[in-house]
Amino acid sequence: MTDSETFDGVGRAMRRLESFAYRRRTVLLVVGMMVIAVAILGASKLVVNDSRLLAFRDEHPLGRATKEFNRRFDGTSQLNIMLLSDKPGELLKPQILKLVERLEEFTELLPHVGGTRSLVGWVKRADQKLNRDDPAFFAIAFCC
Amino acid sequence: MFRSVVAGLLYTLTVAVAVVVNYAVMSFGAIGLGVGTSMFASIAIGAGVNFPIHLLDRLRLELRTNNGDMSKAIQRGVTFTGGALFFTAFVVALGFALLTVSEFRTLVRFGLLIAIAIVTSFVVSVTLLPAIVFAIKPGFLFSTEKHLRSS
Repeated sequence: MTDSETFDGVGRAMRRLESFAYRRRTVLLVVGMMVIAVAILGASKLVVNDSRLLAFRDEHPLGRATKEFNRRFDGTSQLNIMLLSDKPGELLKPQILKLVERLEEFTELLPHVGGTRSLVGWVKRADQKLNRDDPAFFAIAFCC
Repeated sequence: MFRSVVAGLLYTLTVAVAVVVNYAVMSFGAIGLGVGTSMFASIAIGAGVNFPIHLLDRLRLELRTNNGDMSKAIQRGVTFTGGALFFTAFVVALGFALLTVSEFRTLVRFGLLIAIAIVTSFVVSVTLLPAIVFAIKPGFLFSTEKHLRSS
């Protein structure tokens, strides 16, 4: 660079940056590699999450409604667990319903789970209603 | 543009660092990869690849006018082109950063991530890239215009 060349503020800053980067180029390369290594490590832990309801700010009406629904009800996001059987009607057997009930109990212990719903709830409710709404009959009938 | 694989790798390295740093920011900032946030990478590559192209082209010019003196070429290249790159990065990043005032969080993240990627591309272009170029002294920078046309 010649003495006749003048620089504005950004030019002077770039000149200083270049001077620093040139003098410390080995350190810069090492630090750069370390940053890349940490970034790759961080990037490998990236989570895929595409919740549309979380797309709005907390203070937005939709954000507030989502928060309130999550607080008062089972939640706004659902995870469906599908049970399949080779035999028709197998899943309606009381023993199987009992297993589903236990699965629900376990699931409700998990963090971020607001509640669960399944056929078991309907069966238990129906049983109670068919027995003069007695809470003692809120159970799977004919079960083990 | 230099008909060189090494040049292509240097461009790729610059934008790849920007994209990986962004993914790390997403990971550490608990930002999930979704429809909105997955689009930033392609835009960040398009916007961020300009910086190494400009810088390497200037370095080639400076090497020609300074008889192959790499340290002088880097000194002049970064100082002169760096200013222009800074304003480009500033304006483009600021433009995308405007999305951060949106009510829609997906747009907020999208704008923020592209702004970060552009700034990262710029910083890598004026710091790490010259250091790598100085270390490996790639042949395409020393090629003449005539040689490039005939290859």
